[in-house]
Amino acid sequence: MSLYEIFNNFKSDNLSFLYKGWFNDIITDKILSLSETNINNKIIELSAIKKKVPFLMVECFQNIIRHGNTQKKDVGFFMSRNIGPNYYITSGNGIENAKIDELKIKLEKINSLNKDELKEYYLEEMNKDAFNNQGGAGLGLIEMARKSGQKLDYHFFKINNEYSIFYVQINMRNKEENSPTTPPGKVSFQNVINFHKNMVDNNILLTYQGDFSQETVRSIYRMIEDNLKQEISDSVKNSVVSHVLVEQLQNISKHAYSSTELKKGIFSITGKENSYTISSGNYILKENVPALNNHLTHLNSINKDELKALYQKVLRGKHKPEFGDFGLGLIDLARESSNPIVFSFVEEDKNLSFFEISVKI
Amino acid sequence: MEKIIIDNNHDDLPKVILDKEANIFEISGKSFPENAIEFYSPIIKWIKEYVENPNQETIFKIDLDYFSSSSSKKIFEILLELELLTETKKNITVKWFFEESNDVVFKRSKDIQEVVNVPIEFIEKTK
Repeated sequence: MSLYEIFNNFKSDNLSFLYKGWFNDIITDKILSLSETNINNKIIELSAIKKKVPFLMVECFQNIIRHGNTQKKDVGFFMSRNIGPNYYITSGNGIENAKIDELKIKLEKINSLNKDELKEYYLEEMNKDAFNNQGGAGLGLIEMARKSGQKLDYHFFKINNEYSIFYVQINMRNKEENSPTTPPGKVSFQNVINFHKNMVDNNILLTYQGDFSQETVRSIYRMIEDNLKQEISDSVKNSVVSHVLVEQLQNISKHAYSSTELKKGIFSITGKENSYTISSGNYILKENVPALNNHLTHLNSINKDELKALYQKVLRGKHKPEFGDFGLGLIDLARESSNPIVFSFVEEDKNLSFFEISVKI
Repeated sequence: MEKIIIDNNHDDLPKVILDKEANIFEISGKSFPENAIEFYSPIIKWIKEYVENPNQETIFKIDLDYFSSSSSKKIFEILLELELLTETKKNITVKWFFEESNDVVFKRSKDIQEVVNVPIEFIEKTK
């Protein structure tokens, strides 16, 4: 799936956030702040469930952390989507097949209880927990059911004879929306599995689709910075990844075409064996395509010394590129890219093109 | 001259102290503002005024863990203003702090140094 295809899958969402990999509390915090940022943004007016969403996200993470099998750290998956009035939170984590039946019994029990019974069950389990000091995931699941006021939607996807992936999903709906009779829709697990599989197959660590305000740029930066320190032991590479990241995110926030004040775009990080590719995509006016195409082709055709000379020339104001505040951003991307910059334009309609750019580090 | 003190909790904006009386001139932290022109314009304006009537000894400290490409343009412009002091009888030194491991930031600092004529002393930070 190309970035454009992924974008097409998600573009009608207000927000889509997919994350694959191992989770720890730092990541939990950052993803939470990213979601809060978006929840607080004007695009998502889910005041009725605002307070619940961050809580449920934490539960989903803890679900991953507690159930997650450390040997299968790659299978951790988290997805949150805001589609119309609905908010979907999905998590996935590895589980030994031998433990599935036990978990299913717990899930069925949770789903059979009403609000008061859930509270009672929660207290019961909490006491048990204090004694034998095991599990804890049960508590998270009970809390998810309690706070969402909904049945837990779950699915087990068998990987092999030993392991499966346990997916659990919550759908929330803004109660202030009209049409109260419509139950929350759902994102089918087949869809979830496909997205997850696509991330695993293509080594995608993270995909974010939505509005690129400076707030979003800040949140993603914070999250990646903390995560990178754990992922990338090489601090030089770390600094390059951070820089390319900021330049790409700001490219979207500054230059994405938009008929509203929202800057819609998509962004993803792909990583494998200490090599990372940062890709971004957004709409631009079709009339700007030829010049941007020429500019990037030129940047790809000159060597690193020439790029440095061009950078300094632009710095000194001797050369004024047509792109960006000063045009330094794209030059910087070319300088840090270990391969030529990969870019493409896809015609969207008679006015707009989708511009995609990937930098490998 | 009124001092400028910018101290904020935003990760994307640097801390700035421009205080003629106390003889402190400092930019630190991270710099990737949404709009670098807007953010740096009062800072550059202040430095322009300062250069007209500077202290005997000016030590300008840059201690940025990160700066974006549009910030680098603005840092260049600041240094260009400070360059004017080299033509006077007043002393100017830029102390630019860096971390060896912070490759991109250090490389860009060097690139900027090459195109300005102001004495820059690079000082490696010890953690």
